[in-house]
Amino acid sequence: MGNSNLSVSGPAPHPAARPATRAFKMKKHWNKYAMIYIFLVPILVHFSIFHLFPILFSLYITFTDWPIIGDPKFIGLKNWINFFSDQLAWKAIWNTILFSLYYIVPTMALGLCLALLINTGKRGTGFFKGIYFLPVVTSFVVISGIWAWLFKGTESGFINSFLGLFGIEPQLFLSDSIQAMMVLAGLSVFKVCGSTMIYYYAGLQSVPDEFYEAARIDGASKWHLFWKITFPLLMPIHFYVAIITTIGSFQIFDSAFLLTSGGPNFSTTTIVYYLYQEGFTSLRLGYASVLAYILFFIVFGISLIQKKALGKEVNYK
Amino acid sequence: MFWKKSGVIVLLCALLLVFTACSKDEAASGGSTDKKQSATLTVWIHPYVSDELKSKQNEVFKGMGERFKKEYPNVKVKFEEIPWANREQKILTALAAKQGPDVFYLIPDMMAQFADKGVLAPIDDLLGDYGKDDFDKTSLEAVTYKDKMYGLPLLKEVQTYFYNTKILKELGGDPNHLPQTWDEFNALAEKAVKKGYYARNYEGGNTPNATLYPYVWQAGGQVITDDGKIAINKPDAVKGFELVNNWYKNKMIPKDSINTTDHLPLFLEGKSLAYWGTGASLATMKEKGFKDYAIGSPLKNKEMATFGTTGMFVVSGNSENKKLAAQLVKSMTSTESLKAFNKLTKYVPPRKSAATIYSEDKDMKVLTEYAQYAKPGVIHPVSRSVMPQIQAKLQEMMQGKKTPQQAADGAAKAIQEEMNK
Repeated sequence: MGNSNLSVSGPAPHPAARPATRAFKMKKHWNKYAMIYIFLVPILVHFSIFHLFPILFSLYITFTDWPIIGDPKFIGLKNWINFFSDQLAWKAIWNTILFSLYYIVPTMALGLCLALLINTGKRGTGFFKGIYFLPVVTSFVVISGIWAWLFKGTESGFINSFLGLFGIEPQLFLSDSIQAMMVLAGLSVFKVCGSTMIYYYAGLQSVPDEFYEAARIDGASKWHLFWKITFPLLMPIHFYVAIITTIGSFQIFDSAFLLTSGGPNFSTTTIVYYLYQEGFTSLRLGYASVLAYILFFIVFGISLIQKKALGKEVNYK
Repeated sequence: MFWKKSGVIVLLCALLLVFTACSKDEAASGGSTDKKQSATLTVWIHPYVSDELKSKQNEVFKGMGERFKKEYPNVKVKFEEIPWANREQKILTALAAKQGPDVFYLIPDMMAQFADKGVLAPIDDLLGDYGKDDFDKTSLEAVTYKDKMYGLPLLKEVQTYFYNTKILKELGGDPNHLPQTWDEFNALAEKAVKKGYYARNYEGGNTPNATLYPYVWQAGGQVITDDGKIAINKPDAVKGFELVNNWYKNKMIPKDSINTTDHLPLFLEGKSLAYWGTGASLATMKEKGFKDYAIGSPLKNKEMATFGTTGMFVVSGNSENKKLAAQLVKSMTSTESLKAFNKLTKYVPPRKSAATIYSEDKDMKVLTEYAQYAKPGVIHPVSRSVMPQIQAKLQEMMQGKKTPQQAADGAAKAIQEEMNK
């Protein structure tokens, strides 16, 4: 379109002039942006090898029967069709949603509460900041071991011994289909809330003091300060934390693997645990890749909804 | 002159072709076993003992390497230790990348799955004389899939009952006359419950190899028949489900038996009459200073049977030196090697000639005797992948959601679905 306008409005450029101009422009562009391109090369190479290639390869694998060894056998849409009739896959998705319900809000709420506590600036807050953050840097295996001891389903379990003091019957905890998922979620909340605390703490540091001062002059209570100023101004942090905890909750694997092996009766088999089982125990890499894509679609969809709901900017200036 | 020169060239070319063909043949059949040939063989081993005994394990494998080197002086044997966790992935991903070991360690259900996928090399024709009659029969069955041998046995494990003799005496039992049958055990178990003890442990989080199959076999049933038919829901096999259900319903086993994986502390604390365990449990008992125990038989209803895995060394299908690797496997499972390995790890040696290591050890002698009843699990390509399903059916039964027959039918359906995939 642009080229035809040019040809009508003025004389055609000399045939040799056009490439020269292009070459000149390219050279100018290169001189200006060369360093940017050079610096981009490592990340592009890394992205291509470790992200783009596995993504595309796993998409290809979804159309094959591949037990890791040997060449993948093309089977068309069979793996995708099997997914819709696989009751265990749907159970795993439901279990993962259930885990998210038990996990996301408590993690955010507890992280925010801890951040508010350490934001008071009183003596010893630095020490408590370290204590609250400790589970984040502790190995999942270690914490799982402690959790297994705490929630042992016999009268000798720590929590059951404690409950026994009040005449409460020993609970099954990890051996009960309903309680097991709650215990797993509790473990993850305990493990992760230290890092959400840090995000919220950083957010709290950026709330200007003059807002609080102005509100206090107007007679606002602490309750009002929190709900009318702190909470809304932390909206970008809420959004970010909600996204990462949601993604984290859909990727839950370690605790189910270490504490319950997906049981009892598949009640803690999450989508990633099921994916692992299909891929590496049953050696059905094609079907496991389908599950990975389903997981991606779910997380992507939820993130879009969260962006719509929480992604609004709040500005009081 | 021309013809003479041409003749020499043709002869050289022919010789070259012959040599090339020979080397191609050798490569195709897994290399040669020329005792002077040089090669490097990699063996993937695991931590079979606790960290404190690690250096002794290294010595045992070093000894195996040196023994092989005496026969094949130019072959270098590299032992690489791989953690137990996720070993399947490590092995499979390495083999998929055409890397990984020449020789590695497997258990029977994994062997069947791997052999079915073409990951392993059959070694019947590569071994020569390996002393077949010296190996116990069940251990050789454990290394065989579809009439082909894929490895040689390194160790045998046996699960049986360990009784707390103090509790036993309190219940009027006799450590010298321990239960032999289900009825005898259950009679004692009822007494134990009345006195406030558990009859035994039950670790439902472990695989059905430990939690169901022994009772199916003891009742005269099978999981999958030798000709590949599903038998887990046949009347005899269902008796195994019923036995477990009765134990749970009658509180003979702890409440968390549904999916726990460790009840040994309960036994060591004196809360349980018996413990269904292995030589490894015995080692822990000794380590904790627990002395009031007696080792009983695995029990029978129709036949005496138990589970006991057979650990084996197999040869990778990727190995460029399959013949040499098979010879290495033979050397690593020789009487001398098995004696050294099993004496350290407290497993039962699968060779009769190596069983003498426990002639002075009363407990291990008893376990070695019971090893003859130990079956290596279910040798079928789906046996491993169907385990979570069977475990879940058992758990549903214990939760009261299914009767033993329904659980067995569910397990049979799951096996069928897995076979159809």
